[in-house]
Amino acid sequence: MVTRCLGICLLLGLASLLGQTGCKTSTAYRGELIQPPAQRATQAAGDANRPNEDAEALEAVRERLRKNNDPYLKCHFQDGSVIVLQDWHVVDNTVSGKGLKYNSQRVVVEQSEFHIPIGSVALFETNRPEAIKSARLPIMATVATTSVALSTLCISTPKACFGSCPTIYATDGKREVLQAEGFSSSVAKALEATDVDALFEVPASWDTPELRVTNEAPETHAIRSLSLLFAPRPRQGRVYREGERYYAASALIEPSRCSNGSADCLLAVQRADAEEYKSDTDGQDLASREQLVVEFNDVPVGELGLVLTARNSLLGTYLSYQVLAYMGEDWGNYLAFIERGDPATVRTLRRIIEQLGGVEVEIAQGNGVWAKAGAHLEMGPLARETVLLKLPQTKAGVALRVRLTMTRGHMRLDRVGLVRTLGEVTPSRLVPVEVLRHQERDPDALSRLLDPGQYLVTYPGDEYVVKYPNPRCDNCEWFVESRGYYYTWMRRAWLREQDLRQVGKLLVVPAQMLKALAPSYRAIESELERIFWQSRVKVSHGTNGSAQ
Amino acid sequence: MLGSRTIVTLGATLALAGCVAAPRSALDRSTVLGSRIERVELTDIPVNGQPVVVTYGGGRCIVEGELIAVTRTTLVVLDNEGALWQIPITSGAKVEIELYSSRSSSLYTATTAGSVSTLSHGYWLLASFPVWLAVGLPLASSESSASHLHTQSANTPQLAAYARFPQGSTMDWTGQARPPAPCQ
Repeated sequence: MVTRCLGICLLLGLASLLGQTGCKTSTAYRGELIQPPAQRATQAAGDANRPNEDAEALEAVRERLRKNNDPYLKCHFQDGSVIVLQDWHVVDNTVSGKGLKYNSQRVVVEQSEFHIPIGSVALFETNRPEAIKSARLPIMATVATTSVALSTLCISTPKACFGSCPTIYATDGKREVLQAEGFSSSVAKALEATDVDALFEVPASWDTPELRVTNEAPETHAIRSLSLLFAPRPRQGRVYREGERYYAASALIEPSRCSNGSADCLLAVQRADAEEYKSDTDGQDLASREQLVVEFNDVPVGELGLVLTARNSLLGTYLSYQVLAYMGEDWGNYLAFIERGDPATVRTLRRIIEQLGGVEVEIAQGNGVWAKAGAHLEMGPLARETVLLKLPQTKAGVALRVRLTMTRGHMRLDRVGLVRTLGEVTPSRLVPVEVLRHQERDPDALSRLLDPGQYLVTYPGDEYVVKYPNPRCDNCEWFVESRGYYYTWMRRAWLREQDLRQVGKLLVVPAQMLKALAPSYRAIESELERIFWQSRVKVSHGTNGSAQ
Repeated sequence: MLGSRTIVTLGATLALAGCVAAPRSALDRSTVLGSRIERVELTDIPVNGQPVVVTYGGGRCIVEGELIAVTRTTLVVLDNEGALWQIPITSGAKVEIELYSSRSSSLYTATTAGSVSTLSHGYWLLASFPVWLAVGLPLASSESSASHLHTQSANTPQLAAYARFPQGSTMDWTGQARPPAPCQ
């Protein structure tokens, strides 16, 4: 165990070392030495033909200097001093340029525009800086960083890597629907994290709160805790989450216009319903961007927030699975590496998912300039998530134009709305009081969810119903807070695609790989959702829901 | 297990490493080493001599430092402690010139770390340890050799081009530089 930890720490260290040095180039200085006639004359003193030869030699030196296009010129003098010139030129018998004069101890003694008689110089040295790029460091870096490649794709972009994770169902007042997915960025124990999702569709009066938590993918889930958070809703308003803060807000204002530049998208984003705005990728570059401009007419007075209800398409899932396939049978090795290592170190190597990004929000200024208002990255492909993004102050009564920039085909926008925030609220917490499995009480599962030192571990097909006490709140907003991690299982079919060269390309030239993979993704894009939902592992009881 | 494709990939890497490993031998300073950089800070233009390692006395004595000047009879080197040394040309000294700062030490360190890390591989160590050595050592070695020149002190005219005072023959170093200490 000690040797494994030591080895992995060393591997992380060298990856970091190579990462730091591999990007830099060394600089060398090519040089050419030109000796002026005065020095030649000294060496040839006593020669009767000297005057003529001097003139010819001087002309030869001038000619060599004129033909030389090196950007820097050093003039070495007999006393050991040197003047370094840039933007230098030759006029008659003089060399001129801006430069620095150093004494023989190489201390700068003068900075000036110099005009130097050629005959006064002991030796000219032209210099041309050259960048030395080594092919060796990238090779070495590729060898070393293949061990950390997948983790780099999954660590820092929340929910970029698909897993059903703990899939969470709750009632919408009539039936049970998929409302959240827990800690989907925590693809290893070392990356265990807390995740909060809004349960936006549960009724305001939820007397018997209960969640159905399932494992519907070839994964192992380790759930440390599963709590409910609730906060009173304002009159005719809702409570929204922005990061770790919660805000009460007024009733939602629907947009009056929406356009993606070529088509109207108002109906798709006007309401939270089954109709989503989604574009297709262009088949040429998976990183191509698109923009939606959404306009609100009735802008209220006060602090404003933009409400987004959205989920990711399966683009990120596709890329993540593709990387897993490229890793092939070495995936377990990489996973062990992540578990023993420092995620912050490998995070620096992630690139490709970062290029997909999330939703960047800008608002129009009066002068036609767009000002950044923020960005939201945290989504997943399963459940729609509703989040708040607070906006800068704007003029009341004037139409508000919001521009959303995102990767083509990467987001499914269900609703874009505007609210006036009424103040920050602190939600209350409920912990489980009962857990059912196969419709029978499971005290062991309950104690595991309540004990911070234990996990409730689930496997494909597992299903638990988690019950909570009556909150005695008639008009509340609900959120589920989950903490834990999960492991994605390697699929046998993926092993055939193992190719570490592709992993290297993804790391070194991710933009190029996003273009290379674009046609193959485009070919299956329209069918991907249907295949994805059909491929879920059936749970023991109940019917799998979906966000579709 | 470590897949055969992994080993093949690393083998290909080794082959590639071999292809890029080109030892440098030309002493001519006008040799093009890399791609042109149009502009650097004027203060970045080096005005000192290149770092050198001079070995003489049949390999028993080494002076390491900046090449100050090359006269008709001696090499003058400023060592890292600030002392000037005169090394007779006739000593048959071997001179190693660092043309630019290489990252070979990083590669050696990485190779060492990577090799030790294979302790965590269990039985895979039998494959991964040799791969690390086979890839890392040649790469580090070639990185180092590409950035250094090896020559003899007898090549004084060309060697002078790498000195702080390439016009060095016009200066009198007598009394300023100490002669080399007797070799042990």
